[in-house]
Amino acid sequence: MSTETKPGRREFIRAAAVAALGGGVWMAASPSAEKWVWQIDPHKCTQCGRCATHCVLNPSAVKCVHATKICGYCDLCSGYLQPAAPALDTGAENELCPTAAITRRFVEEPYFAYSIDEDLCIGCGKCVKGCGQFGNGSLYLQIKRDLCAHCNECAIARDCPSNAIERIPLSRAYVLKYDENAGEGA
Amino acid sequence: MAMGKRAIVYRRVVLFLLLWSALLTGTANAEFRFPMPEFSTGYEHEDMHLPPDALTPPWLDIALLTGVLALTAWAVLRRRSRNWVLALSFFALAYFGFYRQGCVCSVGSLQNVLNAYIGTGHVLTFLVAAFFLLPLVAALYFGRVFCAAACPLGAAQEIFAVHPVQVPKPVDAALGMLAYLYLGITVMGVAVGAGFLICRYDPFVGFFRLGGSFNMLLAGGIILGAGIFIARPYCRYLCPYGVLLRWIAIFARRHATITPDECVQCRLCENACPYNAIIPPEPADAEPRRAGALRLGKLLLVAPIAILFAAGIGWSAHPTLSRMHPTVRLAERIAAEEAGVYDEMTTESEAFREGDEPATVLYAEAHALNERFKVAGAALGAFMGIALCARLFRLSVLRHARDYTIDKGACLSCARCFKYCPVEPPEK
Amino acid sequence: MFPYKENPMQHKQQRMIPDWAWAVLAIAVVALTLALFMTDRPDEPGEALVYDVSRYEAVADDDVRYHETARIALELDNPSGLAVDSEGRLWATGEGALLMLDETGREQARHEIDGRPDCVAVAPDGTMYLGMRDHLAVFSDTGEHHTNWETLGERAWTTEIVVDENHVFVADAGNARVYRYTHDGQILNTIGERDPERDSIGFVVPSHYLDVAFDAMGALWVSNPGKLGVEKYRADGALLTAWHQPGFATHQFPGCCNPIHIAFKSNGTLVTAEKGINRVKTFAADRSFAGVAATSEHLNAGWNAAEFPADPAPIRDLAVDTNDRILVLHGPLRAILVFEPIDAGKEKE
Repeated sequence: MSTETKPGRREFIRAAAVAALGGGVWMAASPSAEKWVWQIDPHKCTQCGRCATHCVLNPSAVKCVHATKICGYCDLCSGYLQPAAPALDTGAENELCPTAAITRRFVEEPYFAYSIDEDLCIGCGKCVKGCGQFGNGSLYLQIKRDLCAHCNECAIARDCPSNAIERIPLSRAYVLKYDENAGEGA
Repeated sequence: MAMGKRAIVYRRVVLFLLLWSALLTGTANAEFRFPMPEFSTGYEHEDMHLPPDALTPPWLDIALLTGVLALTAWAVLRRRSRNWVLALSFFALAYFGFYRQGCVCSVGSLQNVLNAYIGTGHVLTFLVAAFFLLPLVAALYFGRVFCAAACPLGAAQEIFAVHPVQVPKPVDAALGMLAYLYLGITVMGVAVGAGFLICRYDPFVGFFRLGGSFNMLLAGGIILGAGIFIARPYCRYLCPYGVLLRWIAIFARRHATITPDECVQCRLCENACPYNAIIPPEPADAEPRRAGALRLGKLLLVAPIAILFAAGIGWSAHPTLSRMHPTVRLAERIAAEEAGVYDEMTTESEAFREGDEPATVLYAEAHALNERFKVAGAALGAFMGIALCARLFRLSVLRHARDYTIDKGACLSCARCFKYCPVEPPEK
Repeated sequence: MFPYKENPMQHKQQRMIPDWAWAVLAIAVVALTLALFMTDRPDEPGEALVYDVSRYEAVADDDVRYHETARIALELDNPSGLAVDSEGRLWATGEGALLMLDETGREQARHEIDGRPDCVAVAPDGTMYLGMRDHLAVFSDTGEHHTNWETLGERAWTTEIVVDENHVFVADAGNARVYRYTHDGQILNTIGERDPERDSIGFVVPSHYLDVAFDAMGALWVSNPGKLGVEKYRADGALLTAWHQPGFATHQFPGCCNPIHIAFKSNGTLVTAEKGINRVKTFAADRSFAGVAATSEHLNAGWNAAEFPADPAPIRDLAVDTNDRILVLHGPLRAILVFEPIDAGKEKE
C-alpha cells in the first residue's frame, strides 16, 4: 500500500481535512447549543388549512391552542358553531370542527368555556378563522414541540402562503397569542 | 480563517436583527386584550397548558450516531461480520427511521449546511451540523460505514435487497450520474432559495411516518421493489450525500478488504458484490501503452468542449429550472391568471392578492431569480460536465492490479463479499 | 496464473437479461420515479377544512338601497370615534386629535389630545366629552381641557358617549354596562348591569364593542352584542324593548357579537354596523329589514386586513347626520364614508 510509504504526511492531510471541514461547519452552526423549534406566528397565519394537509405527520403536529384569557366565552361561538347553524346546540351537524375536537362546558348564563381535544385536532384552523373573523381571536394554531418531527426543512413552513412559520430557539417558544406570565403576547 | 470569522460575525448580526425585528413586530401586532367576562360563579379560566418538552436531546442522537458508526467500522474492519452490520442496520432503521421519523438525517443535513453558507433563512443547529460531519469523518477513516448501517434510508433498502443481481457496468455508471445531477440540483435549490429538495422528495420518510402523499409512497414502493433485484437504487443512483461520501471514502485510511489476507485469485468473490464495487485484476499488459495514452488524450481534448456544452445546456434550461422556485411559480401563476388562463386562484395566488405587494414587484423578483437561474444552470451544467468527464476518465484508465480489490468510492461496506472469500485470517 | 481473460465471456453467459434490456428497464424505472416526484403535490385542504363565509357576505342587488355619495378623508391616525352635534357639525377623533368638520367635511378646527380617545360626544352647549378608556375627559367648546371624570376601574373600556340636555350616557364595554352621568360628572345610575335579583344577566359583551344611541324620540338604545340585537332602556335602567336577531341571513346579525355600532335616522330607522361580515344595514321603525347601506365588498375595498391585525374591523363608528345621511367612520381608509338612499322613494320607511 502506498500509505505505507508516507504515512505521516497522509495522516496529517487527513487530520487537517477533518479539522477544516469540522471547523467550518461547526462555526456555521448556531452560536448556542440551544434547541430550536418550528413555530407559527399567529399574527401572520391566515388559516389556509395547509397545516392539516401539508405537515409530514398525520395528524399534523399543528394544533389549535386556546388563549382562554382573551376568550369571550360566547354562547354563539363562531369558532365552535357552523356559520349558519340552524339550532344553537352542540349537535354534530352544528359544530364547525371537522373532527369535533372542540368541547364546551357551561360555566354560567350565558357563558361557555371551550377547550381543544388535542388528540382529535388536525390543525386545519377552521375554528381559528371563525374565532378571528367574528370574535376575539383567542383560538390560534401552533406547532406542538412534543409532536413535531423537527424536520430539517419544515414542510408546512415551505408551503405556508403567508410565511408565518419559522424556526426559533426553544427559549423563545411558544409564540403565544397571549402570554399570561409575560403580559402581552409577542 | 479571517473570512470565516467575518461570516460568523455577519451571521450573528443578521440573527440579532432578525430576533429584534420579530420581537418588535410582535409588540406592534399585540392584539386588543379585552378582558374576559366577570364570572359571578367564581369560575377560574383554564391556564394555557404548554406541552411537555419531549424533544429528543441532541446529545442522544449524536451519541447514537457516533456509536452506530463506530460499531459498524468495528463490524466491517475487525469482526468482518455481515450479521453485525445487518443488526446495526435494523437499529438505525428502527431508531433514526421509525422513532425519529427520518428527521434528523445526514442526507438532508447537507442542505442545512449549504444553507448556512450559500443560502438564507433557516438555522444550522449543532445537531444537524454533527449529523453532517460524523459520517464524512467516518468515511475518511473507515469508508462508507454510514451507508452500511447508520443510514435509515440505506438500511431500509439493504433489507429489501434479498435477490440482488449485477447491473451491467455501463448502465450502472450511467445511472450513477443521476446522483451527481441530484446533488447539483440540490445545491442549486439551496443557493437560490428554492427549498430543500432532498427532504421534499425523500421516498422513504412516508413509510417512517406512516403517511405521505400517494405519489411519494408509490415512488418509495417502486424504489424498494426495484431494490429487491437492483440493490439500493436510491443510494447508488440518487443519494446526493452518497456522492460526498464516495469522494471522501476514496481516501479512507482503513477500508474494508475482500480478503483478510493475501488474495488467492480464486474468483469466488467476483459475483459477490451487487454494487459493482469489486475491481477485477488487470494485468500490466492488458493493452498496449499507446492505446491507453491515445484514449486519454482524446478524452482530455474533448473534455473542455463537453463541459462547455453541458454548461450551455444548463444555461438554456433556466426557464424550466427556475420553476423550482416558488416565487417564479407564483409569478407565472399570477401572470397567467391576469391573462385569464385560469378561473380559480390557488392558495398562493390568493394569499398574494390579499397582500399589498404589487404584481410588478413580484414579476421583477421572478425576473431577477430567472437571471440567477441562468448562472446557476450554467454552473450545474458545468458541474455535470466535469463529473461526466471525471467518470469517463476513471473508466478509461486501466489500473494494473494483481488482486481483486475494492472500489472504495462505490463500496458501501455492506460486508457481503467477506463470506465469499475462502482465505482464513492470518494467525496472530 | 491470471484466469480473468475468459472472464468477461463467462460473465455474459451467466446473465439472463441482455444489456439493452437493462438500459430500457433502468430508464423506465427512473422516468417513472421522476414523473412521480414531479407530479407530487400535497393534498390541498378541501372545503371541509376551510372556513368560508363568503356566501353569507353576498347581498342580493335588490337589497342594496344606499350608495356612497361622498368620502371625507381625515387627517387623523387610527380613527376611533365619530359624532354629530346639534348644529350638524361632524366630530372625529383618533390618535392624538379631535377634528371638527362642517357638513361637507371641511376641517373647521383641530384639537390636539393626549392619547387616543375611544369615542366622542358634543353637548348642545359645545362641551366635548371624550372617552379615554377608563374615564371621560371633558373639554370646553374652545377646546380647553376642563376636567377628567373619575376612573371606571381597571376593566373599563369606554366605547360610546351620547349626551342630551340633562345627561351623559357612557357605554363601558369592559364592565358591560352603561352609566348615566349628570353633566358635571356624577353617576346617577347604571344600565344593563348584571342583576341576579331581577334575574338579569346584563349586557353580554365579549369584545370591545358596546354602543348607545338616541332614537328620534330621544329614547335610549343600547346594543347588546352578545345577544345579537338592540335594547331600549328607560333612563333609570328599566328595559323597555329587546330586539335580537341572531343569524347569518342578510337581515340578521351574524357571529358572536353584533351589531358593533348603532345609530338612528330621524324617521326612526335603525342603522347598524357589523364586524366579521363588515356591513351597514338599516331597519325600519317597525324593525323590518330596510336594506343594506354598505356591503362588505364595498367596505373591504382599498385596504388590506393583514395590515390591521390589532383591530381588523374597519367600521370604527357610525353616525347619522342632521340631513339623515349615514356616516361610516372607516379606520383603515381613514375616512368618513357618506351613504344616501339610491332612490328615496324605494326606501322602506
